[in-house]
Amino acid sequence: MTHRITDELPQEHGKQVRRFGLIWRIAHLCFALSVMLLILTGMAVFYADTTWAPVIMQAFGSPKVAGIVHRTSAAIMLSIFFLHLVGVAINIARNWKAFKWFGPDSLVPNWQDFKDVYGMFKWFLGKGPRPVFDRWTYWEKFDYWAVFWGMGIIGSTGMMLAFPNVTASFLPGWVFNVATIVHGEEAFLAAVFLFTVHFFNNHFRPDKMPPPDVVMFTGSVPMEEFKREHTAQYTRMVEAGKLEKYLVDTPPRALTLGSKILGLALIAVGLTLLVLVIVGFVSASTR
Amino acid sequence: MPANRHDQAVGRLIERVTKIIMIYIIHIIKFAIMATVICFAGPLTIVQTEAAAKEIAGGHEIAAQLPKLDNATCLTCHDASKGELKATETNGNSQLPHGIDNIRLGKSVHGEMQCIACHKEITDIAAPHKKGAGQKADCIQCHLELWEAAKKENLTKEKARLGVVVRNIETYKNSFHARPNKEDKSHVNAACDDCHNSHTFNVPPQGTSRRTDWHLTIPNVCGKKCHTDELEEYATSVHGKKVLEEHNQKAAVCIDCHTTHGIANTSKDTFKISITENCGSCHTENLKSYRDTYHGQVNKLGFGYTAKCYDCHGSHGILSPKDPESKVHPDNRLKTCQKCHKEATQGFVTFSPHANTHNLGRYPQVWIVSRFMWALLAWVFAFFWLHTGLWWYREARDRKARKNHPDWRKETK
Repeated sequence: MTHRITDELPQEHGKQVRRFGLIWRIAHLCFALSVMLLILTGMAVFYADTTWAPVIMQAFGSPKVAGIVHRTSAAIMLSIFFLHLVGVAINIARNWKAFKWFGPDSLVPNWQDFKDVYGMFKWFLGKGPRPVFDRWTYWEKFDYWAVFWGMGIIGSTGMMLAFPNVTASFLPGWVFNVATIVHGEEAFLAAVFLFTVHFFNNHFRPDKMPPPDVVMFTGSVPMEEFKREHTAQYTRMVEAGKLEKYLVDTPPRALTLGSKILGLALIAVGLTLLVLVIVGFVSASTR
Repeated sequence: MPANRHDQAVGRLIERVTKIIMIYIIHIIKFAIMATVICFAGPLTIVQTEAAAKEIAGGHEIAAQLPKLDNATCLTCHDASKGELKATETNGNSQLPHGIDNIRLGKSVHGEMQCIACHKEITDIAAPHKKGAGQKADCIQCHLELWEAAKKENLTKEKARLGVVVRNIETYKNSFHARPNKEDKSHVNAACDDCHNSHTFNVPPQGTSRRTDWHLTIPNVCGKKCHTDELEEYATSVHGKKVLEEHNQKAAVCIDCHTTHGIANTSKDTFKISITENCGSCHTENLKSYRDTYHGQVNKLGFGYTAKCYDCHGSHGILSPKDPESKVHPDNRLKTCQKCHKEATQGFVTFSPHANTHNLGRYPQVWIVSRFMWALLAWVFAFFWLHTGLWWYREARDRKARKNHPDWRKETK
């Protein structure tokens, strides 16, 4: 009956639990925007034989312009990714001795994640209680590491295609054939995954209704939601007496409202892109 | 009674002579009547016929002259199928009449027309013709008028072919051929009869051997008079050899790439793109694989600056890739790539601009990678969409149940 403990904490009223710092939130927003621009400009080429693709290209003026936008967005996305790596490295280095690679604050997958996957499926089928999660759920970890995979695969093939003369000076020509396929298919995977699975997990589940979930814009979650979604972390922190460290004021109304508008706008753009990709996929498979 | 006997004999003689005279008179009268009838009634009948003819012609002046300017009359001088044409001498100038192949004219779509229906300016028989005020033969004007008439009479379905002609005319009007010639602005670059022989015009039906013959004549139609350099180069190409030497109607002739009536300047982007499509109407697999590359995707988006078929393969002088002279032969490839990719390095040579995902023997890396990617996508989506679907189901059900138990955490803890 852990909830009874916090019910007695006076700090809880009007407070939220902080999950994402300002820099991470800005990074996520820039990352999302650059990825959306990459999807728009890339899919218009990947699905060039749809009716919508030439319209997008006309809006940009020419595939040359769209190409510049694509590469600029890629540069932003990759910069954020590498800056994030630096940030993570600094954090770990500072905390080198205390950092537990498989601990609850680490994003490295551990056995508990596999148990949670199993537990969730049992819950889905009505054969067990809903598992409780610590700081990072397994789907959040998947989202995180999927970006590594995506960056590696889409980024490296994109670089090969963007600098063909360098590529072809030490690699055979078939790498362009392979890179084109991998770049496009992996981008399709990323786009569809983001706008279906990621959107569902964070915005469209019945418990998250109505969308959007603004934690990635305000940085904090209401205590009720925190207790529900990260029960294990909550318990752990209450027991260690560390919860107060993470309590922040409820964000001002303007920030919450702005975050909601921003969240809905991004969701709308994402779903539109999803429709365009589906139209492209269907028309390519019926060709 | 000798005197009585004598009287009787004289009387009989007189009677006989009178009879003979009467018969002669009757014959003379008969002859006279007949002569009168012949002299007067004959001309009368002719006058009546002429009047009737004039009446039928409805007062048209030209119709009155029809018997004089019918096709038979024209062909007495202009029939080239009978042998050599005779030159006429006027003011010291000797001029050969324009020869018409009457046999082929008869088979053409225009075979039943009167010469002067098109050659409205011809009003006399004598050579040289005094050109009248009538309009010179004008294909476009006439076909448009016929189509307008067909539309008024609701015969557009029956005259569908005429509709095709009219559409071709509209296309032609926007073509490069319909523009005024740079050297002689009073003429267009090419008029209808520069390509179509208006007298023998008859496109044979698809699938017939006559169609094949007709198709095979096209390089000469375009190249003999005007595009001579192109014809010369074409004759050395893989297409040209097939058409001109092997009479293979499947190989491309000029119009298969350049289109027919809508021929445009090849420096126009839209036309460059349509030529690419035209190559692909025969080379379908290659167009499909081209569309999977960035070259083909940009082209599909309506921009002509990326490599198109002829940028790599050549155009009029296109050769088989196996030909050592071919621009895409491995030995010449890097140079061809460097036309656009100035800094292209060795690896460009082994890029496959027409790779596909279904030919393991030829494109093994592409085959393997494409299957790996499909498997990856299938597994990721299978797992997460199942995960999502079940989650939705469970969470929605739990929420419903929770309405009766506001302190829902008691259930899960």
